[in-house]
Amino acid sequence: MPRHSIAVVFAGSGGSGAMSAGAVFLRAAARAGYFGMMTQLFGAQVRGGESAALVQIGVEPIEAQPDRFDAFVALDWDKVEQFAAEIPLDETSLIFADPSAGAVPAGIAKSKGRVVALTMSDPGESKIDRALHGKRVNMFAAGCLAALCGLPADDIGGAVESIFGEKGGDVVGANRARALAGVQAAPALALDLKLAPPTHDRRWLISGNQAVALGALRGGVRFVGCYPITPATDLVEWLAPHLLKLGGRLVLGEDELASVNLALGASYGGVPAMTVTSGPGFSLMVESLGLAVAAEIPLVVIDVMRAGPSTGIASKTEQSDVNLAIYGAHGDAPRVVLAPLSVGDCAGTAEYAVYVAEALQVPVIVLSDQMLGQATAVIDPVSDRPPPQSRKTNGAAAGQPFKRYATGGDAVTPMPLPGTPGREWVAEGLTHNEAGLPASGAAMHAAQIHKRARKIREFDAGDRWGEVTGEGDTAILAFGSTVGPAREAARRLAEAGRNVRVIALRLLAPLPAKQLAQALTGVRRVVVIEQNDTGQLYRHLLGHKAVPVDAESVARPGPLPFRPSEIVNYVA
Amino acid sequence: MTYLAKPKFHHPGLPKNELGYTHRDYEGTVSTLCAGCGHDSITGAIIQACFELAIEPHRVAKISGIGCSSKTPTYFLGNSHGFNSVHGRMPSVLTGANLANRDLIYLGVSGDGDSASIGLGQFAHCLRRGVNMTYIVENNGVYGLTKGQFSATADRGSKSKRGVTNTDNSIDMVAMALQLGASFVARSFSGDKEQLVPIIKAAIAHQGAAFIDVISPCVAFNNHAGSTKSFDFVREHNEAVNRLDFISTRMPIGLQQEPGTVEIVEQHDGSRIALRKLDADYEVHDRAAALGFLQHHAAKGQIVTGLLFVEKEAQDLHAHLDTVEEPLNKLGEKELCPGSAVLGQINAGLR
Repeated sequence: MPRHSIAVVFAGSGGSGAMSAGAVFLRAAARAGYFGMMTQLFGAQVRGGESAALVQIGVEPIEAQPDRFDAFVALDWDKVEQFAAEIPLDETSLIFADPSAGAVPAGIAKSKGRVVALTMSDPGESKIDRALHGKRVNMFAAGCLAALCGLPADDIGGAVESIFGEKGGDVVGANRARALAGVQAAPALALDLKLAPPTHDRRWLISGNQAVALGALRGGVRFVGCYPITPATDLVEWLAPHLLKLGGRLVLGEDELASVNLALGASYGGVPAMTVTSGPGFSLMVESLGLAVAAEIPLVVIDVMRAGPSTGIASKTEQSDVNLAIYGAHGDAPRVVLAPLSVGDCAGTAEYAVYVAEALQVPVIVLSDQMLGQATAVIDPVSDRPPPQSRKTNGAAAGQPFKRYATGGDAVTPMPLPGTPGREWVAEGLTHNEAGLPASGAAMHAAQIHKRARKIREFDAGDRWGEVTGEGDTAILAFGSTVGPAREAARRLAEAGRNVRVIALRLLAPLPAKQLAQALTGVRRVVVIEQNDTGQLYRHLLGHKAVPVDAESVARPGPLPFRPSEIVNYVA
Repeated sequence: MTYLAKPKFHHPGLPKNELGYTHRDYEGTVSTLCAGCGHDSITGAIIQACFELAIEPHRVAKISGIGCSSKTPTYFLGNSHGFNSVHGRMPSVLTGANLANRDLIYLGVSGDGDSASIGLGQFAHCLRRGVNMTYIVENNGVYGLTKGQFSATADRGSKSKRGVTNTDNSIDMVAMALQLGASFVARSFSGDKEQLVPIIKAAIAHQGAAFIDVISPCVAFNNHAGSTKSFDFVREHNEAVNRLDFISTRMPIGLQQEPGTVEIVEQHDGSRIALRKLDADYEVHDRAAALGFLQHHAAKGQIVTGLLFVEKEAQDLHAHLDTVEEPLNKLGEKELCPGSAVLGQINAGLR
C-alpha cells in the first residue's frame, strides 16, 4: 500500500555530505510534486563533527518532525553514536549501511531495525580520484532512497543540477552520475517505500531563515547591521546579495553592540532597518532596545533562538528568549514581540514586523528559532501579505515650533527625516520634553512614559494576532516551532474522535487580550506548551490574566523538538 | 531641568554670515556644565566654526554618547538634527545614519570615557571604515559626571584630586586614529581657540574620517597640580607643530604665500588649508612619521598639537562601498526596483 509520507535520516561525520544528500532528496521530492521538510542536526564543529539531515516528504504539508524515522542511511558510522539518542528509530525502521563501513553501532542497533546492506561507493573509482573528490556516497544514497520512494530519475538528476549548478559542469556531472547509480541500485533491494501519487502545484522550497529575509525585504528593509552568529548567519547570507540588488546596504558590525546601533542610526536616518542575531548577541543588544524605545526609533530585531543560557548549544533549538524579548531592558520599555507560526509564516511575520516598527516607531522583535529557521520546507507559496504601513514623517504646520515628542494628541508623533528644514529634532535617550530636550522633572518623565505605553496599548493587531485551528473545549496554546507539532497532534486526536483547539500565538507582546478571550470562548482546559524549562510564555500569560489560573504548563528545555506523539500523550 | 533655554536676542547690529544667520542661530541652550569647563570653550569653537562656514543648521546631525562631553550638543546648534544615544555607541549610530543619508554633515561628539573606555571598540571600527564625519573627543582624562575617576586617557603617574596616582598606561587616541587610517587627524587644546576653530572648519570640510582630540581640562576634578590634563600643564607642555588658516570653497586665497613656511592643502570639496609650519621637522602627509614624532615628544612629556596628518586623496565609506550620490533614504521603489529580470532570478532561487 502506498505511503502518505516517509521520514528518512542521512547521517555521517561532518563533511560526509549528509546535508547535501538530504537537500537532493528533498528537492527531488519537491520537483516531483510532494511536500516536505528537512531539519538539520549537527554539532558545533566546523568539520569532523556529527551531522544528520532529517527529511520527511509526503502528499500533505509537513510542519512537524516525525515521531520516528522510516529509514536511517549511514554515510559512515564515525560519529553517529553522538546523536543516536536524538533520532528515534524502531523495529520497523530500515537501516541502510555500506558493509565496508563496519558494524552497526550499538546505539543504532538497539532499535532492532532491519539492516539493509547497500554498497554506496563506486568500485570503479580510482584511489586518486577518491582521494581528490571523496566517495560521493551521499549522492548515491540520496538517489537510491529517492528512487525507492518512487521519485522519477529526471527529478533526482534535476535536483542535483539545481543544487550543484553553481559549482560547474564537472562537479554537477560527477554528482549526478553517482545519484543515478543510486537510482539503478534501488530495484535490487526489493523494498517497497513507494509514496502515493503527488498533487502537482507551484510550491516554494524555502527555509525559515530565508523566509524571514524575504519578508523583511518585502516590508521595505533596506539596511541591515549584523554580526555573524549561529543559527542566524544563513539568514543574512541569503539576504545580503538580494538586499544589495534592491539598493540596500548591509554592514557587518564589529559586535552586536555596534550592529544594533548601526541599524538604529540608519533607521533614524530614514531607512527601514533591521538587525539579525541569536540569544548571545541579543543579550548584548538589550541596551539599545531601551534606546529605541526611549528615542522612539523603528527597529526590527530578528532573534533566531538557540539553546541557552550563555553560549548554550549554538546549533540547536530552544524557545527560551521569551522573557528577554518581552521584558529585556532597564526601565519601562514596552515593545512588540512577534513569533512566526511556521516556516512559510516567517515571511509574513517578518514583513508585518517591519510595518509595525515603522508605524509605531518602536523596536519589534521577531522570535524565530533554530528549528524553524534552519528547517527547509516545501510549502504552498505564501500569498497572504500584511497591508503595508509606513512611518509618519509629516511635521507640524509651518511656523509652529516642531515638537517631536508631543504628548496629549496621537501617541505616535511625526518623525521627519533628519535634514528637513524647520523640522529639526534630536533623538534622545535621556528623559526629554516634547521638543526633545533633556528634562528630569517628574511630570515630563511620566508624560513621556505614558506616551510610549499608549502607543503599545492602542496597537491592535486585528486578525494578525494569531490563528485558531480546530474546535473543542481543550485548547493547546503554542508559538514558533511548537505550533507545527501541536497542530499535528490535534489532527491525530481529531482522527481518534477527540476535538482539540490549537491557538497559535503570533503576537506575544503586547498580549492580544480581546482576541485571546474570544479564542478561548467555550474552552475548559488550556495547555500552554513551550520549549523552555521555566514556562516563560505561561507566566507571561498568567501575569496578564490572559489564560485561566488553572491553565496547565508543558514546558521543557530544548533542543529536542516537540514530537506530535508527546503532545498527544499529554493531552489525551 | 537639565537645560536652560537661552533667550533669543535679535539685535539688528549682530553680524551675519553670508547666509544671513547670526552667531546666535548656531547656539543651543545655556550650558549646565561647571563654570570654566573646557568643554564650553569647545562648544564656542564649534559654534564659531559653523557660523564662519555658513552651514545651514538643518544640514547638521550632531551625534553623541554619554558623559559631560555628550551633554554639550544641547548647548550648540540648537536648530540642527541630532541623536543623543547611549554610552560608547555614538560611532555606530553615526555610521548607520551616514549610510542612510550621506547628505548631512555629521558631527560626532564624544569624550575620553565615551570613546577611549567604554567605546574604544566602536571608536576604532568607525575610523577604520572611513566614515565621513568630524569626530571630536573632548578629552579631560577623567569621568566628570560621576565625579573624578580616571578615564583611559589619564596619563600614568597623573594624580587625581583626591591624591590617587594612576598606575595604568594611557591610551593616545591620536596615535590610534593615525594607525586606524583616519584621513584627518588633529589635536588641539580647548584653551586655544585660534588653533581649534580653523581645525574644526577644516575637519568639517574634509570628505572622510576626521578625528580631533581636544584636551579639555576638567575644572572640577582634573585641574590641580599633579594632573597632566590641567590648564597649566597643557599650556606649559603644548608643542604646536603648525597653525592653520582655513579657506572655504567660496573664499579667495587672501594669504601671501611665503615659500617654505606656508603649505596650501587642497581638500576634495575644493576648500583649502593654509598651514604655517612651526616645526621645520614636521611633515603633515606622512602617517608613519607623525606617529613617531608624536611618541618621541610624548616621551619627553610634551603634548603635540596642530593638524598632525591629512591625507591628500582621502576617501570615505561611501566611496569604499561605491554607493550612489543620492542618499539611500531618498531612493524610492522606482529607483530601487531592480526590474523583473532580477526579481525573476530571486523567485527562481526559491523553486
